[in-house]
Amino acid sequence: MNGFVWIDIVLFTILAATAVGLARTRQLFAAAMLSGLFSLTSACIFVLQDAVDVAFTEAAVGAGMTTVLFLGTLALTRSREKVTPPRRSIPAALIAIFTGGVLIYASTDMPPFAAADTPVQQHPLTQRFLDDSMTEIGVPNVVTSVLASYRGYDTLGETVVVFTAAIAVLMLLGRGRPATSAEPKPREALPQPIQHDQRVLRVVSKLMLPFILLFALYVQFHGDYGPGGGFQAGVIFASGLILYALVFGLDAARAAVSPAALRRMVPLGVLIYAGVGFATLLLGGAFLDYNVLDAHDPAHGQHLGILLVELGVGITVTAAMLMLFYSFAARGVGR
Amino acid sequence: MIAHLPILQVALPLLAAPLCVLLRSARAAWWIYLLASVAAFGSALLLASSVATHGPLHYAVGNWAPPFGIAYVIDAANAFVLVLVSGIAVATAIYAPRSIAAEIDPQRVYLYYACLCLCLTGLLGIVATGDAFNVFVFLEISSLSSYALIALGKRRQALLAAFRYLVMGTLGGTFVLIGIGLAYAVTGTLNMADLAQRLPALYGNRTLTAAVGFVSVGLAIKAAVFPLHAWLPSAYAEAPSAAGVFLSATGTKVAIYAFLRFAFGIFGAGLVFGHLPMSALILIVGTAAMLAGAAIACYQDDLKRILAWSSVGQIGYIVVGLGLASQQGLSAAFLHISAHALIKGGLFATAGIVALRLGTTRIDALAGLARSAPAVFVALLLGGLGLIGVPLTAGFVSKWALVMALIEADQWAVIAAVLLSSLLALVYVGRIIEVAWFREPPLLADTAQPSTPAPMALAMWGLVGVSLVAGVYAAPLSRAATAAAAALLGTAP
Amino acid sequence: MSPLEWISNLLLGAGLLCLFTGALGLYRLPDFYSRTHAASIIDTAAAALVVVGLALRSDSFATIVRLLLILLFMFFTSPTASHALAQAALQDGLRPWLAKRPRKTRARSGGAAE
Repeated sequence: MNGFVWIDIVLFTILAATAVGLARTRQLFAAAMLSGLFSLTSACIFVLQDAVDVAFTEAAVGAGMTTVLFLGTLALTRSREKVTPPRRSIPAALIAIFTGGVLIYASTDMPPFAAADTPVQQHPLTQRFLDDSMTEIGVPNVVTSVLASYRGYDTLGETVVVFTAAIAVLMLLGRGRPATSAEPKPREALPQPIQHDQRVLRVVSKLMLPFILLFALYVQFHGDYGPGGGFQAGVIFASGLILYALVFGLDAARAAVSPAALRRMVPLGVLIYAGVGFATLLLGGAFLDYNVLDAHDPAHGQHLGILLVELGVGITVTAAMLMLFYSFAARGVGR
Repeated sequence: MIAHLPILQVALPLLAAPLCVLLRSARAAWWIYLLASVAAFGSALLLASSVATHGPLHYAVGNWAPPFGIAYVIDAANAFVLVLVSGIAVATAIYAPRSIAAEIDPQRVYLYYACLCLCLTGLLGIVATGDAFNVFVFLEISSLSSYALIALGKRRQALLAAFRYLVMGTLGGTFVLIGIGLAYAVTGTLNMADLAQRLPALYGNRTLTAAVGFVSVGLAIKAAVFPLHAWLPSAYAEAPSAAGVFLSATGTKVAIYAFLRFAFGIFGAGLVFGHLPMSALILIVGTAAMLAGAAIACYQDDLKRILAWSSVGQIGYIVVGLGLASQQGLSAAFLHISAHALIKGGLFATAGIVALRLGTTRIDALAGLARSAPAVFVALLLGGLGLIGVPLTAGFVSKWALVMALIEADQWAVIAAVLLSSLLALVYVGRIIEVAWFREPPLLADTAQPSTPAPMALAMWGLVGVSLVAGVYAAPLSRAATAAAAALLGTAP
Repeated sequence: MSPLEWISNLLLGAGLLCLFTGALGLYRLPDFYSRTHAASIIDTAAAALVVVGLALRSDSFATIVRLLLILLFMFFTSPTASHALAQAALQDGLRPWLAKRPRKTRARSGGAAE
C-alpha cells in the first residue's frame, strides 16, 4: 500500500464524518459550513485522482459559491431547522440506506480502482482522446479538448443549465425590471457596508481584489494549457465581486457591475456559444464543428472555437453567479 | 438543409431563449417563442416524413463521428415524440398570451417565454439525442425550467408544489446520472449505439444491474409513475394555465420515452425484460397507477386537480403497454402517449379558460357552465369522453390497442383493472359534467364572466379537435405508433 | 541526505507540530477567542513552515515561485479572516472568557460559537 491510499482513507473518513454531521445538525449555519467542508474534501479527493479540472470546479462552486448562496438564503430564513418527527424521517432513512446498499452492490462488480485494463481505459474513445487530440485539436489540456470540442454540445447544454437557473431565480426573486429611479429605495434596509472599524478587512480585500480578478482571467484563458476554463473562471470572477459586495456593501457592488448589465450578460454568453454553433452551420460545417472556422488551418479553427465558447461560458457563469447573489442579497434587503 | 434539421429543431429554441431575455419585451418574446416552436414543429414534421421514407437520420454534432462526439439519431420512435412535443408547443404558443397576461406579473412575462423556450429545448433535446449523457444534460434543462414555470403559479401553494417537484426531480435526475455513470464505468462509452453493442456481453454484471435500477427509478420519478408520483398533482394543478397545458401534455411523456430509449436502445430488451424481472414489476406498478390515480381523482374538488390525478392514472396505461415489451404493447404505449398528450393538453387548456372566466377551477364554481359557456363545456365533455375511452375518441383507439395487446399476452387481471379504471374515469368525468350541466349557476356570477379569448379557444379546439380526428380516423396515428414501436424493438440504433 | 533536505525535514516537522498544537487548541481551549487564536496558528505558522519546507524540496524553480506566492497570499488572507471573525464576534456582543467566571462564560461561548 502506498501513501496515497492512506491519504485516500483519511479523506474519505473525513468525508463520511462530514456527511453524518451534516445530516445530524439542526444548526443551518453549521450545515452550510459543513457542506462547504464536504465539497473541499471532495475536491482534495479529485486532486488525488488526477482530476484537477473537476477538483477546481468543485472547490470553486461547492466550497465557495454554494456556501455564499446558502448563507444568503439563511439570511432570509430561520437559522434552525424545524424538528421533523422521527417517524417521518424513517422512510427517508430507509431510502437512503437502500440506495447506499445498491451502490455498494454495484461497486462489487466495478472494475478495480486505478487498474490499467478497465473498460474505460481500453475503449477506443479514451485512446483517441489521449493520443489524437493533440493533432486533431492541438490543445495540451485533454480535458478542455473533450469538454469544449469533442463533447462541446454537452457543455453548451450545461451553460444553458446555468442560464436557466439564473432566469429562474430572476423570475422568482427579482423585480422584472430594475426599480425606476422615481421609486424611493428603502434606504435603511440595504445591507450596510461593514463598519468603518473593519479597516483591516477593507484594506486587505481591496489589495486582493485585483489579483482575484486577474487570476480568474488567467484561469479563463489558460484553460487550454492547464486546469481551468470558463466555468471555474466565471465562478472565481464572480466570487471576487461578491467579496467586494460583502465588504463594501451591495450598493457599491451594484455601482461597479449593475444588475442591468448582468441581465444582458447572462444571455449574451449563451448567445456567443450557440452563435458559434450557428456560424459553423453557415460556414457549411456541422453544428459546433470548429474546423470550418478557419478554412486553411482546422487546428486554428479549433483554437478559435474553443476560445469563443469558453468565453461564452465564462460570461454566462460570471453573470449568473453574481445575479444569484444580487437577487438573494436584494431580497434580504426588503425585509 | 434536411441534413441539419435534427440539430436545428433543438438549437433554434435554444437560441430563442437568450434572445427573449435580451429583448426584454413580452411581445417580442412571444413572437420568438411562437417562431421557435413553429420552426421546431416544422422541422419535426419534415424529419418524420424523411424518416418514414428514407430510414433513420444520423447527425454528428461538431462533425465528430460517434462514439467520439455526440450524435443525434432520429428514427420513427423519436420522430413520433418530436412531432408531438413540438406540436403541443405550438398550441401552447397560441394559447399563452392571454392566459399569461391574466396570471403573471407583466414584468416577468418575457422571462416566462424564455423559460418555455428552454423547456421545449430540453424536452426536444432528450428525445433527439443518441448519447446517454446528453440525455441527462437536457433533462436538467427541461427540469429546471419546469420548476420555474410551475413556481410562478398564482397561488402561494405553487411555490411549495414547485419546491416539492424540485426535490423529487433532482433526486430523479441524480439517479439517472448515477445510472449513466455506472454504465460508463463498465463500458467506457456514452454513445447509445456503442453502449447497446457492448452491454450484452455484460449481462449479469452487478454494476450494470444497478445501472438499470437507477436509470429506471430516476426516470420513473420524472414520469410520475405511481408510487413516485407525489409531485405531479400539485405541480400541474398549481402551475399557470399555459405551463399546465404544455407540461401536462409533454413532461411525463418525454420521461417515458427516455425510459423506452434506455430500455430498448441501450440496455436492451434482453437485459431489462429478459434477464431482470422488470416486466412483471412494470405491470404491477402500471396497474396500481391506473387504479389509484383514477380513484383519487374521484375525490378531488378542483378541476385541475382532477385532471392531474387522472394523469397519474393515465400514465399507468402507458406504463402497462411498455411493460409488455411486445410490438403491440409498445405501439399501444405510443398511441396512448399521443392520445393522452392531446386530450390532457386540451383539457388543461379548457381548465385554463375556466380559470380565466370564473377566476377559479373549483368544481362547485363550474355550476351552470353548460349554459354560460357552452363551447367550453363541449370541449370539456369531449375531452372527458376521451379520458374514459369512449369510441370515436383517441382515448378509445389507444385503450383498444392496449386491451388487444393485453389479450395477446394473456394478462386478464390487468384487463380487468383497465376496465375498472375506465369506470372510475367515468365517475370523475361524470362529476365534472354533472355539476356543469345540471347544477344551477350562482345568480350573481352570470353577468360578470369575461368571454373566451379567441386564441385560447383556437388552441383548445385545436388540441381537442386533433384528438377527435385521431379517434375517428385512426389509421395514420396507428401506423406511426406501429412504426415507432418497430423502430425501438427492431434494429434499435 | 543533503543539508537542504535536513532543513526541509526540520521545517516540515515544526509545521506538523504547529498543526497539532493548533488542532489541540481548537479542541481544548475554553472560549471562542482563544480557539480562534489556536486556529490561526494553523493557517499562519503551520502553513508557512510546511510551504517553505516543501519549497526547499522542490527542484523546479516555477514550483518554488508558486509555493511562495501561495505563502504570500496566505499571509494576507488568513490573519485577515481570523481578525474579521474575532471582530464580528466582538461586535455581536460575545465577551472574551475571563478567569473569574469560567463555568458560565464557557457555556455561553459554546452556544454562541455555532
